[in-house]
Amino acid sequence: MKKGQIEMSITVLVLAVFFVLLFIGLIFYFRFSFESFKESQDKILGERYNVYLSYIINLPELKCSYMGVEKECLDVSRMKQLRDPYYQRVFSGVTKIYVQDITKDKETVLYLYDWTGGGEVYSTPISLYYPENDKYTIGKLYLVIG
Amino acid sequence: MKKGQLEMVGLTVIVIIMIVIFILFISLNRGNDSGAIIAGESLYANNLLNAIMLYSLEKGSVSDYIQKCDQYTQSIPQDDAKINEYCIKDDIIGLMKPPLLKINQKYEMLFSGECGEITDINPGTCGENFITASPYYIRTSGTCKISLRVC
Repeated sequence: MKKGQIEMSITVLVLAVFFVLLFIGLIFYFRFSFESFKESQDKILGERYNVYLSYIINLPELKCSYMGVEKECLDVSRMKQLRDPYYQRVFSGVTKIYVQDITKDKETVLYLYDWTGGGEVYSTPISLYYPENDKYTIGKLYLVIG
Repeated sequence: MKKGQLEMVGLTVIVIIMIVIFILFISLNRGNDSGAIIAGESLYANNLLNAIMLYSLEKGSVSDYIQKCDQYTQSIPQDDAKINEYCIKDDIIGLMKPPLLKINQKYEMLFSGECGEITDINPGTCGENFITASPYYIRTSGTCKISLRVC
């Protein structure tokens, strides 16, 4: 083999090794990128549903108030009146919204709406106000994602 | 060392440097997106503290009891029966458990200012990693500041 042929072979070999390494690097890079993308997607969705939770707590038709002064709680009597499919259109992607009073028996569940299906659940503690006896209890507001 | 061996060493060094740069790039890209989780946890902690403070006991809300606790602690002569009745640490501990808290979730509730004889609950439990709720203030003989940390 002549010297020129040997150098050509070395160059081809170096290029082959370089491309193999580049290929392996790209595979790892896209794998990490994909995982990172999935994590970001979950976090963005989590943030969206936390915004929904905050939004529901602050809905004027549900929030308790006295003489125009609002308190950080949900009025149970209002919630009983408002089982409405309208909220399903507002909170897209959510199949159920309900409140469970955790200081009473497990049956005390109030649905804002209940659409079939279920999946991941987001929740937050919330103060519940019962105007008939002027008492506050503690409940949890649940969002079920379809 | 022959020329071929030197080139091999050079190539190896370049490959190692590229791998190190690649790993650094990946790790830097992954470590800066925990804001959404913290925002959700913060909402949870705020709502939890608020719900506890509004909760109705026999003679008023938890915040009313803390107010009375301070009032009876300041009065002269002190009425120990009233102080025991209104400084309701045990009732708060009784509320702070699953399903209100997540399973195995720990917390610290800290009282500062004029809060009567009520003392901190689980101080030092959380260490360095915790989510803090916005402080809850109660007007007593001064101001009672209640802080909640969940961890």
